[in-house]
Amino acid sequence: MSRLALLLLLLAVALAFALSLALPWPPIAALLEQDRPLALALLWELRLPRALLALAYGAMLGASGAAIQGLFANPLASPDLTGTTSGAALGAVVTAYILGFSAPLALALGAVGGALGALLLLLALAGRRAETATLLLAGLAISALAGALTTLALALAPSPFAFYDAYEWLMGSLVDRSTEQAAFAALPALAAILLLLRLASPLDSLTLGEEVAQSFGYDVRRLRIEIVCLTAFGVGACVAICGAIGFVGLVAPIFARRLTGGHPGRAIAPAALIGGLLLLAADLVVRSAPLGRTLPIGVVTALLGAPFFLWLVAHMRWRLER
Amino acid sequence: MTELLTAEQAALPGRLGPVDFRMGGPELVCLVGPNGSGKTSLLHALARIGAPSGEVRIDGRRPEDLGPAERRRLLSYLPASRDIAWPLAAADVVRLGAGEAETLEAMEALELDRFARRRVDRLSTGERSRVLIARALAPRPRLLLLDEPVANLDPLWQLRLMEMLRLAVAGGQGAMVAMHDLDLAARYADRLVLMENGGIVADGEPVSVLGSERLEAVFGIRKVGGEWHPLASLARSGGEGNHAKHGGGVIGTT
Repeated sequence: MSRLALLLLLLAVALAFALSLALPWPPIAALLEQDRPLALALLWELRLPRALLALAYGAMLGASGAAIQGLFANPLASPDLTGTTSGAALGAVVTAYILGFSAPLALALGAVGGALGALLLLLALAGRRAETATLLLAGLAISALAGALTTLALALAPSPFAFYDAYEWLMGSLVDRSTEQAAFAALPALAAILLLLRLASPLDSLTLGEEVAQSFGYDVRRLRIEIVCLTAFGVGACVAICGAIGFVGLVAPIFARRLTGGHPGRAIAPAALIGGLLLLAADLVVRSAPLGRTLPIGVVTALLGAPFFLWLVAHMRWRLER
Repeated sequence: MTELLTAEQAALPGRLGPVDFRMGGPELVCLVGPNGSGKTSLLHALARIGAPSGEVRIDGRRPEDLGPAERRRLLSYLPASRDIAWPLAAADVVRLGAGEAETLEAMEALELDRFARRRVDRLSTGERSRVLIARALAPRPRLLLLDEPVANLDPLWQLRLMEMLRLAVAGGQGAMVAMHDLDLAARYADRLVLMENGGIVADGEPVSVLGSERLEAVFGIRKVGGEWHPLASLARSGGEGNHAKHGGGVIGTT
């Protein structure tokens, strides 16, 4: 990737982050004149966690999407299509029923456990170098199973409040999270992204197949385990705080590989930046939509991402039939 | 003096029995044998792919002890598959194994200059083969381990590749090449290794291995009048072997 592209991408992310803090501007402007400490508190305690969560969650989805796509050698693999996010959601909902939504550590552990379970099941079902069909079928089956179990858990909710809490959380939201909660998602995400970045070279060499990567001296089995664990850890922590948000992990790596000449490993860094940018942008759409109420951000990413996914499937079919 | 390659008790469970193998200095060794005889498995064991047992030393060093950068100077492995998972540009594929100057040199040697920026999914299978061969040759490793490199190549490029391998050997590299074309192997190899059921059953100069009864037994073919014929059809026709055009079939060029 050229330095210019990287610089432009960084600038775009910084701009989106700044806009995320500043918009909508009138209430802040008014408060800055009347009550400066309150205005700063609003920025620090309401808008910063939200912007930070959007950036961290988006970056985590982008990086893990790039790593999973590289690992499976398949552009259709992503945390949501492989059942990772729905597994994490199930794990978190079940934990929440037992301990409540106010125990972030337990929630995160539940979500990481669910994500890990889903990814391991996927590896067992779809195999190492998954064909598109087996990967999608296995991902679909795991998502459906986790979705059904989550619905079952909702149906068995101990109280209407518990049901409402869980339902709202499941749709994915960045609103009203505290600075501590934001840090709770952002720090594991940052750690996971940094650790995933180390795997760029072995993932690039997987382009030549598992055997060649092994002849280079890369331990492909360990690579697989590292990617599964890091993805589950980072995505799980974010899902625990913000609920499930789809399609960013699918879309970001596809754009990122255009910047890296197709290299799957080198795409992890730009995919993280593009993922953060996409989620910050989606959150700006959520805030400025003139609907009189806040849309769940998961709905927005799905509304924008699903058509892209359909285009991708059509494009792949076109390439196969060519 | 350190031997170029020593393998002791190299084995892959269920695919390759314990095999001992040595290459004193630079040599072109061709591995021949029927499908499933263990050629690929031997190459895997030498390249340390798939957790093989036994010990392999190249230039006295164990590949396992080296990091990726050093290992690429020690050995190159070309798989029989011509798949490339992502649509990289041809030059970027070659670069995965080597530095800039080496990449350019290898691209030039395989006449890939005009494809350099073309995506590999838009190349023919033969062109993609050349890209992958360039990738394997580029870092100029001590030992080349090539699995059916001439498959998919046109006759001219088959010969040019074998000549390139001879040059590499003259320059001090060792090469071990699995292939099915017995005549091409015999013409260029210093040594022919015949494999059957995951073991080495004959190893020596091409003329002696090619003319051996063991080769006839392993492949079920015999050379009569300069052409290979299945033993079964020779038995039917009384050993004349001049009926290739009438159902006997000619073996040798794949």
